[in-house]
Amino acid sequence: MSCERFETQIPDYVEGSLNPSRELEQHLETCSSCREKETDMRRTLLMMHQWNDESVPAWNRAPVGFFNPKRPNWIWSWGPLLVAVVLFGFVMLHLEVRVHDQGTTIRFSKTEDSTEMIDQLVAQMDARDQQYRASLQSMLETYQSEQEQLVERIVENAMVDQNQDLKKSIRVLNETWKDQREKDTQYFQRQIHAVQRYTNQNYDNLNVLANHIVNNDRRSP
Amino acid sequence: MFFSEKQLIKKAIQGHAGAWENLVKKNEKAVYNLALRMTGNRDDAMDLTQDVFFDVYRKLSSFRQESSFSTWIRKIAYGKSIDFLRRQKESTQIQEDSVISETDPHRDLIKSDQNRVVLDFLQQLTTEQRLIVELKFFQGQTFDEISQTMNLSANTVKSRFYAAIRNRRMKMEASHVL
Repeated sequence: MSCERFETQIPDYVEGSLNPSRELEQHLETCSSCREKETDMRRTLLMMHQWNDESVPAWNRAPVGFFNPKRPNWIWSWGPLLVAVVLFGFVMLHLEVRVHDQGTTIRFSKTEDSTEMIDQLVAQMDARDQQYRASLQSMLETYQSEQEQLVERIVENAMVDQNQDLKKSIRVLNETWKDQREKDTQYFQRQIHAVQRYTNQNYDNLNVLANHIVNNDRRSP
Repeated sequence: MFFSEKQLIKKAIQGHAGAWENLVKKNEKAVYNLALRMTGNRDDAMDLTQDVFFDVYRKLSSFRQESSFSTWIRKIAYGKSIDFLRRQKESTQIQEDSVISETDPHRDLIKSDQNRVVLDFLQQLTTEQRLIVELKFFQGQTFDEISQTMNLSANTVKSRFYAAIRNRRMKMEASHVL
């Protein structure tokens, strides 16, 4: 049998992590090459077991410049939370801070005063709210009115512009019509003259014919 | 306050030096001893350790948690060790001056301790054999795992491993004959 398979098993067998199979034991008994490998493995493993991990000499694990020096310190991490907690405490405990000539004092303010103050504040806020609403409504109405006026103005301007254009067009049309009327009049006058001439000519011809008939009648017996 | 490894990694990426130091402390001994076995002397082992952790920090944001953090660091350490030994091989003269010198105080220290035998044995091996022996004996990898780590076939790994431990026996026999 080929040694290849057993060569893979020998280290695990020597280390004790593999239970030897009958096949492996038989092979080791008969194959001197694999037996030598087993012996080498055993001796080398024994030597390696002498190794004791050494401690690491002191060294700078995070040298200067290795990390960003602008790392936020605790005041930036916890400061805002601390301020929020203090402010919350002042509000909840009705604490009052007074600065005067002798220094600064912190005392509990009266609940009634606080209630009145809150009522006043609420009333002021309501008044401001109403003012604001009224102001907003006024602004809205003004805006709407301005918009409507603006629209009307735009429409008027458009109408004016349109009327001016219309007047101009009518004036042009009128002048055109006037020219055309004059031309038509002249044409009709010419036609009337022609018809008059034609009629006069016919009249003359009729006179000639009538005279001729009359003269013939006079000459005939 | 106790932080998990994942939290420490996240904080280290954000620039928290304390978290980074914590991660280093947990892994530096394993890396340093691996580097010591690979290089054979403490100065080089320390330089290599610092180099490994510098690389780990640089790549920290790309760590995908597919393996454990220590396994990931060791992989970086293997690569760095091979690079280090190749550079050392290229400058043979420097190597002779710094490593073989009998006046090297660190070498004397190593000679005097029980790790000397192991380091002397490893120093006689090629770079590849040294890494195979390291992975087999100290990291407990199978031949298949070593072949994946080193990008070699399993048969090549096996033959180089047995050649390495046979070489030791041959030298011992030769020294006994002499």
